[in-house]
Amino acid sequence: MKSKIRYIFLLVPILIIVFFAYVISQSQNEASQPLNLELPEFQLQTLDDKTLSEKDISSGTYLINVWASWCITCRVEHPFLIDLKDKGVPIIGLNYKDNKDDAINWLKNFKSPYEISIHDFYGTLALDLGVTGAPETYLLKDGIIVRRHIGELNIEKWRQDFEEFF
Amino acid sequence: MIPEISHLLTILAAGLFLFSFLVILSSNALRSTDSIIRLSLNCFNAATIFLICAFILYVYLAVMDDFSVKYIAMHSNSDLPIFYKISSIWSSHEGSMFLWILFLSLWLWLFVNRLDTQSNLFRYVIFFSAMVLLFFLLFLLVTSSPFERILPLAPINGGDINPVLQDPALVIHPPMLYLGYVGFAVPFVYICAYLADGEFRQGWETIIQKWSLYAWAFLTLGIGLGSWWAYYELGWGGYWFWDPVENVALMPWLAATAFTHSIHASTKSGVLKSWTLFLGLSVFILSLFGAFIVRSGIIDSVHSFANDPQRGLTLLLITGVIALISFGLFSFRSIKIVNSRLVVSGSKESFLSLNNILMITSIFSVFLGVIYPLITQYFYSTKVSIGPPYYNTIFAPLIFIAACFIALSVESKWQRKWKLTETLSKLSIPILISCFLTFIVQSLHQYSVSLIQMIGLFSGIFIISIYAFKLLMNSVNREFINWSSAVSHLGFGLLLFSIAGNSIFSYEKNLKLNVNEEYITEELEISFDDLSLKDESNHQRIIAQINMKIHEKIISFSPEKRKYFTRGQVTSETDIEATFLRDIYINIGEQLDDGSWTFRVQFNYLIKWIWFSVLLMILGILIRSRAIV
Repeated sequence: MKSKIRYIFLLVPILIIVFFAYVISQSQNEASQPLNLELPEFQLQTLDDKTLSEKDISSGTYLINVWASWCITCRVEHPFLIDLKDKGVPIIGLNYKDNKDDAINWLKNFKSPYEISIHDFYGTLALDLGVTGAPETYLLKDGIIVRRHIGELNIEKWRQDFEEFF
Repeated sequence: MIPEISHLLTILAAGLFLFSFLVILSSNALRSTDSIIRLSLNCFNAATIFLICAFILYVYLAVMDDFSVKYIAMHSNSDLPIFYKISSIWSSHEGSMFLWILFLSLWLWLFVNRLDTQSNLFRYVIFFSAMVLLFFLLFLLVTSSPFERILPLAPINGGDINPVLQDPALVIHPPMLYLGYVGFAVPFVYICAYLADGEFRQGWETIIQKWSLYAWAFLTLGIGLGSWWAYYELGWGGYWFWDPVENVALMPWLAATAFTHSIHASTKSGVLKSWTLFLGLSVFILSLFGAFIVRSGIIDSVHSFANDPQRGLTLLLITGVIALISFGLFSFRSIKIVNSRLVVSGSKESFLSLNNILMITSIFSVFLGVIYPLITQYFYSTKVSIGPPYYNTIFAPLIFIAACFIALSVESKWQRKWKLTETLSKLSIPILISCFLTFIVQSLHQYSVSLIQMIGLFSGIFIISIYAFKLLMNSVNREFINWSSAVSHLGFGLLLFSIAGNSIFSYEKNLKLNVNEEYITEELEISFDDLSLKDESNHQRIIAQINMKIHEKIISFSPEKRKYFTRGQVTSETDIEATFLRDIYINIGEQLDDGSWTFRVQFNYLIKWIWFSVLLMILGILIRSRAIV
């Protein structure tokens, strides 16, 4: 083999690695999504049989946390949400496609981190919000959704994207 | 307690691999002695045994429903039958990575213990094996630990395995595929060792040839099973989708196929040695690349695991380091490799070397298809998707050329120039037969067969007829026949034939029917007789009752939809009536606003033949591996 050709065997892998490293770094930027969306209109029952609409939470800063009793990751996330509640962060639960009795029992068993929990049995509000699954967390500031996080919320994500608002 | 023991054993295994690696590294400076090499071998063996024990304990945890382990809680459920509890281990990223590493260590362990410890290469083999295993164990422990626990309050029941994966095929498809992927670690470490050693003794090819053939058989079986699963169980209506994950499995397969051919030429007549070395390294690197693509989630695919860029970056780093070390060795050391002979043009070797170029071309085409959407997405901000038209157009001419090479190389001889007239006279009958049959099919189908389909059909029939002719000559006048080559290439020819035939003859009908409504044409009558609901323990079933009258025969179908409670996921269960030539495949779709239901009815030809041809190829390879001592 000619001595210069041999560098191709190193150059090609290096180019491929650099390319994919770039792609990954780009997709990482995409994952943290600063948003600027208006909270969609809704009127839904809560788990304690009150009615809640978008107007009731149109001022102030809240976390909206999508959860369900069938969701195991929500169990994992639960202790952290309790920590946040103890710190005084107001969290609104969006109980997603769940049996009402199961949901109430779940909150009784594990202690509720939520100020109030909307019972979105048919997933209508979740659909308008663009929920991909549970758990998912939105940050609502004066009626505008400014942050969104898909999956388990943990201390790192919290510090990185959410803490500054509280 | 048991989860911690399993975790600890895995950590210890990583430590022992590290130690084994360091011992060899330092022994190079200290002038290696037997006892040092023996020490590192013992560490290597102990590490593998620890890893096996750790995995057995993990299986035990899954079987005993220990939902304090987060991974098991998320992917298993106490209602599942025992084999799904076990297979739930490899139903997602962490557990499947664990299995992948276990297989990697088993292959390397078996290989290392069969090698001659006195051989100069031995310490390098241990060195590279321990290095690869160490990298992946660290990846498992640091970024994707399956041992994390939910304490103190463990969930009472698990989150259930994804319903799509609740299928016997899950029990077997991933393990077979992984056995294939990591099996190529054996030639990989040996080639690295051979290049690092730098003495280039003869006869290295025979040591790894058999291992490569077994790995090839597993890989082919794994891909075949995946295809079978998608067709019969998942209701995707086809057997191959050019999905990115299928493509990244196809690339190592193509490289492995080229490698097994090239290593054959190297053992037989001492040529193409650099090619063989290069391909041997490439197969494993491409397998790692596949693992990176699937597990980083940068490409949307039906197979993707959860998207975690951090994990992707780590895997990219590991793959990159391994690729650079091995290709670096190759580019700096292989200059000294001398083939014992030159390739005579027109000899069997010359066609095998052309085959290598052809395979590299097809790998590159697939690679381009995989990364092109990424290039447009990140550099031009437009999303494109590359589908079957691209791959079919690219592969048709390549396959035609491959068929010609097979034909020529079968008729040519080792180290001798071919005799043009003799070869052509031998090939004339197969050429005539395949032209004739292709023409028959074309005319039967009112001249609507596309060029690509014709190429596929012609190539398939051509290969089959060459070998059929050979078999005939063998039984008539005992002419020599290479059985393994004949069987596996017959399998390949049959594969091309059935794929082409399937795409030519198959058709589908999309129907919209109410209960008790009928659909009638000249050749068939379909009636939608009943729709019933049934509640099962963890899902609800909607079952349609359909009767079809075709060729005076009445067949009843009951396709269904299932809605799973735990995840709210909906799956469809296809009903298939399979005969020798044709499958009738009914899939129930959505309910429309007017209350009627949509159905997809497919008439798929020669599907069974595809599976059969894959088995033939594997059989051929197994015959070959028995001939190697």
